[in-house]
Amino acid sequence: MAELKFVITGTAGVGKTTAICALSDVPPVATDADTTDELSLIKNTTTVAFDFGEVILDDGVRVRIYGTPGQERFRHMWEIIAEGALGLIILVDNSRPDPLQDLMMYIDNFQQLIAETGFVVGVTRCDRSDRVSIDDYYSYLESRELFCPVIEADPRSREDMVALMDALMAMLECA
Amino acid sequence: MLAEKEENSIKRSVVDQNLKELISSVDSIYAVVLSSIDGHPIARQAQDNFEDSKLAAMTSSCLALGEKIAMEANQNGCDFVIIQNQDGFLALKRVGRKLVLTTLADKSINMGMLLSATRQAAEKLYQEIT
Amino acid sequence: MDSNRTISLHGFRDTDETVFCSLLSLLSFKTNAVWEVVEDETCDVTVVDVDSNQGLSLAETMENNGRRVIRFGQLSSMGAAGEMCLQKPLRAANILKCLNSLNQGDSSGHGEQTAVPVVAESIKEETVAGFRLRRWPCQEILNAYPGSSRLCALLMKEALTIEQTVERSGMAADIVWDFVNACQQRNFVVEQSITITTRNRSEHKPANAGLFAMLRSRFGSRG
Repeated sequence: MAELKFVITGTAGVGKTTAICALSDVPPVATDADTTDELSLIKNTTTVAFDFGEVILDDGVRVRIYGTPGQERFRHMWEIIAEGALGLIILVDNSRPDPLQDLMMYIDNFQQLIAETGFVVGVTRCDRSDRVSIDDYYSYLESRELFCPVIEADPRSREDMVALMDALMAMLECA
Repeated sequence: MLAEKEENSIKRSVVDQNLKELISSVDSIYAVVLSSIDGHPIARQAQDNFEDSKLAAMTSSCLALGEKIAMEANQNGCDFVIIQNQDGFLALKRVGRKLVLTTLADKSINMGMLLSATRQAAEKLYQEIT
Repeated sequence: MDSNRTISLHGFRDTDETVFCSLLSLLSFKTNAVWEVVEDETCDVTVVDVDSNQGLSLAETMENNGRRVIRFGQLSSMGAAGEMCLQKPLRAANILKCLNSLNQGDSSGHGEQTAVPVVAESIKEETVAGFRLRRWPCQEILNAYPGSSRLCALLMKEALTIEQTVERSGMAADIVWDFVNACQQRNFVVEQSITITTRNRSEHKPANAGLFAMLRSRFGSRG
């Protein structure tokens, strides 16, 4: 069955659950569990299966937005969630030690979805670190012959998340 | 958090003892895994070689999903998530806020036996280590 | 060379139908013919969901009657290799491949599965200056030119001339010019020489009826 589904992935703690809250028209479902590792320095809970929100279009059609767990050990969920999706948003935390490496990990793991549909990159916490600039992301993507929007975004801001979705839709329209 | 880790290592022997008791309590139980609620393996007992790191992450996803589905269906107090297969059973049970206990048994087991052994071990673990 | 073709869908779930129609309208720039979804029995081709017994036998009956059928379903429910197949889930590339190979003019209904080169028309090659976005423009520019994210997407993927951009976006030339100028001032755009092949394509349907456009307008309308 074709599902109208988009996926948000990215680093643990980057704000995927928050982003879905910002976009969803219905109370989102979050499968969160208490953090027991170094992530607990940043946050108390983490997504272990998926987050789920819905956008209801004017004609009543429901579009689902799934957030994945961020950590690589939950790769089994990535495969399940990516199945049949129409597009991908990757959120990258710019204040982490090597955000380009982080981005690469998600691009590699969501390779098939990216090749079949399209993706955009949202860069968060640019105010905390400017070691890696937006241009660096573009250079990196270009080196892998990927051309996609890279946009500074705050997952708490509905406006920013809408801008990401808008860019993704535009890219998919012109696929 | 460091203190927590230290405490955990002290409790390692208690954990191992409990898992050993569980696996030896019923013949058909061939492996037990204790993992953190966010998907890290903590301890295991198994009859054969047994890879638990992937299983730990997957049981974490599965338990969270089972608990959410129960809530969505207006059923409170998710007790077990049970996976019944041609070859056997897996029973997942939450232990306090931070842990999950997974019991694996072959198909010869009586389901009631599996659940009660798992429950007893979970309750004992909860009292002794949390 | 563009011609009008009709297509009908049988046994589709609502979501599949929505996705199919959206993708079809989005693909209108790339298909060799202009496809219209109809409910008419006398259409050029019928897509049948063969994941039910009913659908499968309908597909077989239609094929036996010499009708053009595209089987739509799980891989396991697909028929012999020669038949036209569209695998679930729906993908733009697969739809395109199917429709364009149908359009090759083979009348047997046993379309080839290989990608088809763009229909040869009177082709002329020349090298001209094109524009490519080196990064997604800031919100200020996007807001100043409503609908410009389409332009961005086109210019992000490849360098295009203004004429090409106008043609593919369906937007007015002066707006495209202004937009590219605004991007140039902010250093968002680079000039590249590109080789273009001019073709005489007569008709374009604006690709705005689809799901993605609906989503964008939904978000846009709430701001």
